[in-house]
Order: sequence, then structure tokens, then C-alpha cells
Amino acid sequence: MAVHGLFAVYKPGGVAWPRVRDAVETRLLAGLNSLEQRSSRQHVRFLPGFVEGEAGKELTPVATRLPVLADHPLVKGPRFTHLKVGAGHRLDVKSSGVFVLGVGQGCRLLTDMYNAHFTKDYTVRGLFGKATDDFSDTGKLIEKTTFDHITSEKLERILAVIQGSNHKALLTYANIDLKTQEAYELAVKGLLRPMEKSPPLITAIRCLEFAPPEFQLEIQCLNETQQYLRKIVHEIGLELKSTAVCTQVRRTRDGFFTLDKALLRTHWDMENIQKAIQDSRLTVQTELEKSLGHLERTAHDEHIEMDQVEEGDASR
Amino acid sequence: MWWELEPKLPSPSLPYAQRSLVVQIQPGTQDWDNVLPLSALEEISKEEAVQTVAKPLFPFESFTLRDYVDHSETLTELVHLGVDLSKVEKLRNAGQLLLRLDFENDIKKILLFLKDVGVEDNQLGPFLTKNPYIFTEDMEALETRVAYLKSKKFDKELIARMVSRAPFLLMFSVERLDNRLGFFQKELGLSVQKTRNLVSRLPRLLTGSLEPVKENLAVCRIELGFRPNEIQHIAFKIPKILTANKKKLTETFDYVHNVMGIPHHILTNFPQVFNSSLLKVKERHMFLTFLGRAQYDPKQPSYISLDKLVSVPNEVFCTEIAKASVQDFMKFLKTL
Repeated sequence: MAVHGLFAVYKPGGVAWPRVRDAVETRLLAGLNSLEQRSSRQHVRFLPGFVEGEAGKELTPVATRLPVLADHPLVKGPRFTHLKVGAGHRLDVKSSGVFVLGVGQGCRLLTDMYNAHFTKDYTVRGLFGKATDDFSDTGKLIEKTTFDHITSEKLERILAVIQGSNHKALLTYANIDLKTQEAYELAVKGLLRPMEKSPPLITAIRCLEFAPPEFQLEIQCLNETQQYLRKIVHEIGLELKSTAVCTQVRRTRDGFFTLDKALLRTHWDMENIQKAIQDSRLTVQTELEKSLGHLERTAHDEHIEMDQVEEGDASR
Repeated sequence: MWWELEPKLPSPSLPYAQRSLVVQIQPGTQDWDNVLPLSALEEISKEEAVQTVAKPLFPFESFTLRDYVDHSETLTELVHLGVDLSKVEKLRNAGQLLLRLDFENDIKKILLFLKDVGVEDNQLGPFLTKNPYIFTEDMEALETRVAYLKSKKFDKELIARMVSRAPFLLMFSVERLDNRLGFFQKELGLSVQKTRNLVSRLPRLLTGSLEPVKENLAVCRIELGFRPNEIQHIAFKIPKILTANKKKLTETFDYVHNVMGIPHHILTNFPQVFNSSLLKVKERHMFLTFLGRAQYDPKQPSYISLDKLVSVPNEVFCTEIAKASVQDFMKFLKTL
């Protein structure tokens, strides 16, 4: 019995992520505490008892084994009261979607996942003709515009521009000489990405549905916040000489956790979480190795070189 | 040291707990009280040494009742009754209170009294877990309070149910109980009969604070715009609304009234919506809208009652109301 590892839940919109984390922790604790408890210790007590003696029955102390009452579940209380549950890439209150959580030693893997800089997929719904102060449909209305002139082609053109400029930025922040073999190998594997801090970068963007005033975009991105994606929708609206608000931000993939692996609210219990962790264990290992492998290799190489230098110094 | 030879001097505190501790080897043969305390240096014979009882010392102070439970008969009996000591010790002063009590003298009479009132055997543990302070109450006062409830025409089963579901009920003085009963009768404008019914269904109304109840009534009247007779009807149907979270109440109403478009009079007939989670209502309404089945007007065909919408579990909801498979519902939930 071990619950250690990573799994994904589907965070509903309108709920803050710490509440999701806490709910999962409570359910896991309930599951763990309902398992069979450790049997209580025994101690010997001399209790008065009747023993057949010379003069009929005699009252003498008799050694009896009794369970220690201090180990009674009603005295001890629940065995587990806290559980380490860590959250992966955050989702803000309004957005919904795949939300990665780590349990126990799985929290360490969350750091690895962060360092691996995986891309994430979002579907973003927008609505033309309105502008609000926080770029979402619930914000304070600032202006209304017409949107009859917007066509699918115009939208596609803007999306192409956004993708182009972001691709350029991606190459500069990747911090690698493009004319090298290393860069080529990374690019072939699709691992060319900034490994340090960078501004939000969109690696791919396309239109899924266009039915004015509504439209739906699919965005693949790095280092983003959900508010940044809302801002993108707002800017698309402005570029099209209209305005737009974002009605929904939904994460469909976080690294290697896809939508169909995410657990729904009704399935946040011990059994399902354990199964999800088991199922994803192998993928987590291989994917993390694949994307962090080359980093470790270069670090290892540097280490060896340093050693050789030191040895050289010593022999001199 | 946990296990030591018998202490030479009687310990000053917790006389009762200590008494239960003494394990007598040969009762009657020796009067232990008259034996003078031995000096540590005095030589004793082998026979005497055998008779020396080694018993655990209990700590003089501790943050948990766990250390005392094996020494104190009171605590042992309480655990066997089903009292959750791990919860009791978190209550203020409850630990000290229980340790000072004597099972025969202090506890038995209260237990017998509670049995007389009609609290079931399996309810005694949870009752005392919630309210160990009842042991400090005066027996006469408790009896007057029960007599008061009887005089208000609560029959015996009702009193038993109320007391076991609201353990603090008997801690309230007669005047206070009277005040509170009067409050509900006046605020909601209910008849005596109906007030009795209301508080017997949710007795914690009587023991809880009245301030949130007042606030909730004001919210229903001013913010949600229900008429007084509608409020009376709703509160009588689901008394829980009076202790519900104000924010949750307005949020649920906002969604049900403004998004689902359900007018006040239908809400009055099916107030169960206020008891269920908003997320659940949202999910189900959106699924029905997606299928084109969201029809809450009783005058039109394929009408879905609000009561059914929120009360049935997911599987029944899918097959009977939405007429779709559970898998489809799950898939739909992942697009929200």
C-alpha cells in the first residue's frame, strides 16, 4: 500500500485550486484511515479471579492479557491527519481543466516536471463585440463594438502572425546556437524550448471553431498564465478592429497528462487516485527522462571535465 | 522512567485515578495504608521484594488523555461507552473535567438520566463526545428543563430525538429555551404545532446562534425577494436554510433564478435546490441544456422537477432524466 506519485484531476471552473487540493487530501485521508488499523499492543494486568484452591474457590489475582486502551481508535484518534499533496502548474479560479497533483514523494516529481518546461494545451473560447476590464466575460463592461466585418480568413491571418512572432521569440529564449548539431537533434525531437525563465510563449495556435460572435481557439504554450491567454483573446479582438472577451479557458493537456487521464470530482477517492498513479507511473518516468535526459548528460559531461582539470592540477 | 517501583509517597493529585491503579496482590492479608513508607536504603527480604508491586507512574501533566486512559476507571468506562476521547480532549477544559470525575458518583446518574430521557445506547457515546460538560450540570436543573419541554407538548420520542441530535439542548436554561422557541414562532409566523415540528426536525436551531438565522431571513426577504408567506413555507420545508451559509444561498439563488430562469413560486415549491451543491446544479443544468432537455416549466411537456434534478444520484440522473449514458455525462463534464 503506497500512494506516492503524480496524477491529474479535472478542476471545475469557479473553484480555487487550493480547495481542489484540500478536497483531494481530505478524501485520501478518509480512505487511508478507513483501512485496517494496526492492532493494539497488549499488556498484562493482574485481575481478581476465582481459582479452585484448598478451601473451595479463592479470590486471587490472575494474570490476564488485555489490549492497551491507549491504542483504542477512540482514544488515539485517526492515524493520518496530514498528507503531503503538492500542486503542479496552477490554474486560476475561473479556468478549468487538467490540474496535476503529487502525493507524498510524488511532490519531488513536480519539481522535475516544472524544470522540464513541458508545453501545455488550452482551448480558449472567445466572444466578439465586447470588451471588459479583466478580459473575461464576467468583468466590468468597457465597450461594445461591431463584428460583422470579421471573417475566418482575417482571424487565421492574425493567428499566423501571433504564431510567427512567438516562434521567433522562442528561438531567442531557447539560448542555443541554431547552427549546431545539438540544436538540430533537439529540434528533431521537438524539445527545442527555453530552459530558463522566459516570458509566456505560444508555440502553436489555431482556430477550432468560428461562428461569429463566438470562436474557439486551441493554444499550445509555455510559461503562460490563464490571464495571459485572456489577454491574447483581447488583443486578437483589437487586431481585427473589434473587441473580444474570453468566456472560457480550459487546459486540455499539461505535459504528458491528457484530458482522458484526468479524474472528475466524483472520482476523487483513494481507489481511483491509486489506480491513476499506478497507470501514469511509467509514462511519468519515461517522459521526464526523455526531456531532462539531455540536460543531465551535459551536466554530467561538465562534471567530468572539471574532475580532469582538478586531477591535472594535482599532478602538476 | 515510565515503569518504576511503587512510589514511596502518595501522589498529591488525581486521587481517583490513582485508586484504580493499585493492583492488589493479596487482598485482605495486608493493610497497605498502615505500612510505613520504607526508606530507599533499608534492606528488605526476598519475600517482601516479591510483594512489591511495580506499577506505571502516570504523568502529572500531559496534553492528551491517552496517558491517563489505562489508569483511570472513568476514562476506561467512557471509552467502552463509545466516547471519542481524541475529540473530547480538544474541547476546552474537558480533559481536566473528565479526569476529576468519579464514575460511580458523578457519571452514572447522568447516564441513567439520559437513558430516562430516551437517548439510545449507541447514541450515548457521540452525545458525550460532543458535550462532556453535561457532567457539570445540576440534576435538578436538567430535570426541570425536560419537564419544561414536556409542558410545551413535546412528546417523549421527540425529546429523545432532539436531545440526542442537539447535545447542548439541556445545557440551556428554561428562560433561554423559552426565548428561543418564541423567536422562531414569531420570526417565521408559525403556529405552535408547526414550530414544534420545525425545531424537532432540526434541533440545532435551538442551540445554535440566532444571529445567522436573523441574517438568513433578511437575505431571503430583501436580497432574494421572497414574500413572508413564501419564506415561511421554505423554512418549514427545509429548516436547514436558516443555518446555511449566506453567500452560498445568494449564489445558488442567483444561478437558479437568473440563469436557469426559475420563478419564485416554483422555487418555493421545490426549495431543495438550496440544500444541494451549486456545482452539481450547474453541471446538471448545463448537460440538460446541451441535450435540449432543460425544461423546468410544469405546464409544458417533458417537464423536469427541480426536486428530481438535485436529489437523485448521478447514475439515475443520467438514465432517467437526461436519458443519456453515464460515460457521455463524464465526457461532457470534461468540456466545462
